[in-house]
Amino acid sequence: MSWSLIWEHLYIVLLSVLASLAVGLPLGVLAYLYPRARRPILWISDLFQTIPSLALLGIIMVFLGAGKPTVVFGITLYSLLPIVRNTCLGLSEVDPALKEAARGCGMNRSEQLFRVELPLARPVIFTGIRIAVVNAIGTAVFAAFVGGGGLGSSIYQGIRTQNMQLILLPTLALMVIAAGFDALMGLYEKHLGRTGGGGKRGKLLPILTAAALCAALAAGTAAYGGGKDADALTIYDGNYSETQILTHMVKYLVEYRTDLTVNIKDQMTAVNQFNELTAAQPSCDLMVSYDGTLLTTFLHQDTSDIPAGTSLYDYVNQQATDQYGVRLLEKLGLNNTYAIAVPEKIAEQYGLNTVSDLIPVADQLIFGAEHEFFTQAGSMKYGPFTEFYGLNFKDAVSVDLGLKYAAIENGSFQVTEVYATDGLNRKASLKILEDDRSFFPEYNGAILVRNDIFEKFAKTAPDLEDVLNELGGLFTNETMTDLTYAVDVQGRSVDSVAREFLVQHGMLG
Amino acid sequence: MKEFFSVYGAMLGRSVLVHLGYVLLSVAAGFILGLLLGILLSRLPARWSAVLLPILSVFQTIPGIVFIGLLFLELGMTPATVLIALSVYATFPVLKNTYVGLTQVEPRYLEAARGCGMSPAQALTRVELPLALPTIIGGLRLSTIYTVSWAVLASMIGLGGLGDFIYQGVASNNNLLIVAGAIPAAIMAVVLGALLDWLQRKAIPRGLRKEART
Repeated sequence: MSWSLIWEHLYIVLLSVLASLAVGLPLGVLAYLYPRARRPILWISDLFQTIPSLALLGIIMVFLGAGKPTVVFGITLYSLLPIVRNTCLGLSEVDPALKEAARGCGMNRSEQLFRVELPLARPVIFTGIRIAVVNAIGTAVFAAFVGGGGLGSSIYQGIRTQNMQLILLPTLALMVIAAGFDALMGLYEKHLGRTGGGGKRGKLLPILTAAALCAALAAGTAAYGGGKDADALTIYDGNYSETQILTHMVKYLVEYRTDLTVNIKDQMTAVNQFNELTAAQPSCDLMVSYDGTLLTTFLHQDTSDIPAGTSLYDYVNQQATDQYGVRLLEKLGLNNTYAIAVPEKIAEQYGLNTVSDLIPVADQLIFGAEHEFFTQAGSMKYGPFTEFYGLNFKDAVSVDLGLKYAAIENGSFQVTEVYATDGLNRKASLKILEDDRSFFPEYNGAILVRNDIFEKFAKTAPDLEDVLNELGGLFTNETMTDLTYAVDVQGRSVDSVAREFLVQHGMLG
Repeated sequence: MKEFFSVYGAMLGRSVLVHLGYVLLSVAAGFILGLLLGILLSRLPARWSAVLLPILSVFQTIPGIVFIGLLFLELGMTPATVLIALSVYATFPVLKNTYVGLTQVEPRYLEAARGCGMSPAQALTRVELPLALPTIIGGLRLSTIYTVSWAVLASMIGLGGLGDFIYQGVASNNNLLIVAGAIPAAIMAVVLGALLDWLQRKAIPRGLRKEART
């Protein structure tokens, strides 16, 4: 966990609460002024609360793409209810005698609202904002699921690698931040109440606060907004160690060998990265991917679609160029295919070496894997796999990707599907069973680029393609497992692992 | 649509039931726990609650994934993991509202109860709790709606519920799946919420109903 994650988290919270205020306060006033509008307004903001946060973010993601905008929009919707409700409530609770007095002084409706009712309703409105802020701090953890960054990404990584420190530190930070903000806002409210909003001192604090918020917003936007930079190569960070290590290697290598700067943006799933890469207004220039992923996930095809005599790699490259204007550079050398794995103990007990060995004993074993493996679309999935091999497992459970290794280590299931180069395989002492009937295609790692980027960067980095291709053939499954083991199990930073590898291979000075 | 239901129909039905099961069990447990703790807290001197309530609200910010994740590492993949986590989250709003409801009972009613010769226990069950009931049910409503949403996390540890659809949908960028999980969850929350709203109206002591309506 680092400070940058905390700042990122706070930035998300700040942006969402401000957006929510901008929408929620007028809505609350509207609900108060027009009793007819009250029910629908409150009902709609209530409804947003009933949608599970993960689902809400997932749906928004489809429209806004992965990343911060989705998270901010989602949290904004969640924060609406306390703000709208308390604004309306606070205004309604203003003593009718005072309202009458205001009218009696000859104030018009807007004067009554702004000079009497709103100031008197402030404590209740402020409570609503406090609730919204504290909730937003908690909800922003889900940002990690849709590539928004923040403290959630550290928690998620901690759960995946069963690293207590990575889970508990950010959690503690969250609690401290929530408590701190709550207390601070309480004090602030008290102070405002004392000065009564009048006089010079009373004006100073709100102005200072507004200035501080603006500064924070500007700093955050500069840091995370991802301004367009003509001389920068943009990559989204991967959402697991292997792609992260490779992404950082690309950054080091390109920055060392060319005049380009490389910006690594938020973590994102492969599907979202591909969507960004091939969008009409692409927000990244390349991504780390695999030929098998390109075939099945992006092109929605099957190994049976490949004409005889053509290799998977050549076939998808042709198809991807034709359909999306992207292509793979040279193979990196690793084949991070899906693999079926069992704990060493189970392998010994049942004498398992190949997937076919599972057939007679499958009814005694439980199969478990991440949710994605159980979806119905696509061919690299549980249904087609068990059908292909004729496997009848005792039961099948789908868990969060992050909890898969914890689950197999504590015996929740005995057979799982893993990525061949995952360092956690070694930590959990899993034995990979040979895919003896070749159900899974190859997943040769390679850098996927848009065809036009070499032209785009021709001035600053004329030999960009050659530089990137120096990574070709540099890895084996064995070396890649070492690298992910260093990150996931030994807890080293992606940065240092990537840099050290390049230095060892004489590619960085 | 038809195709969707033929593939996922049975799974959807099962998921709704499992989800509802988690919600009802953990809200029930959370309600009992919250009610008892809330009563206990209201009997203690006010400075106790001044310290305890803020601490509790900070604990509430612990993200569900952390809590379920840690419990999972301890207890493994059993429904107990989910039920314990959800019950704890369901406890907070009930506890808070019970406390607020009980402390807001006007002293004159308590005095009247004492004057009638009621013991503290009688005053609690016959006067204070009935008067605080609408507020307590308000807390129960909040708990229920949150729990419907939090129960999605059950599928994070392979224990089914509507989260299966949402997780699979998010993992494969499949809108239909996400919506297929979200809509039943939202309906469940709205229906349970409406049920509790009705209960809340019923819970207002008869003598006070007219006053409450104005």
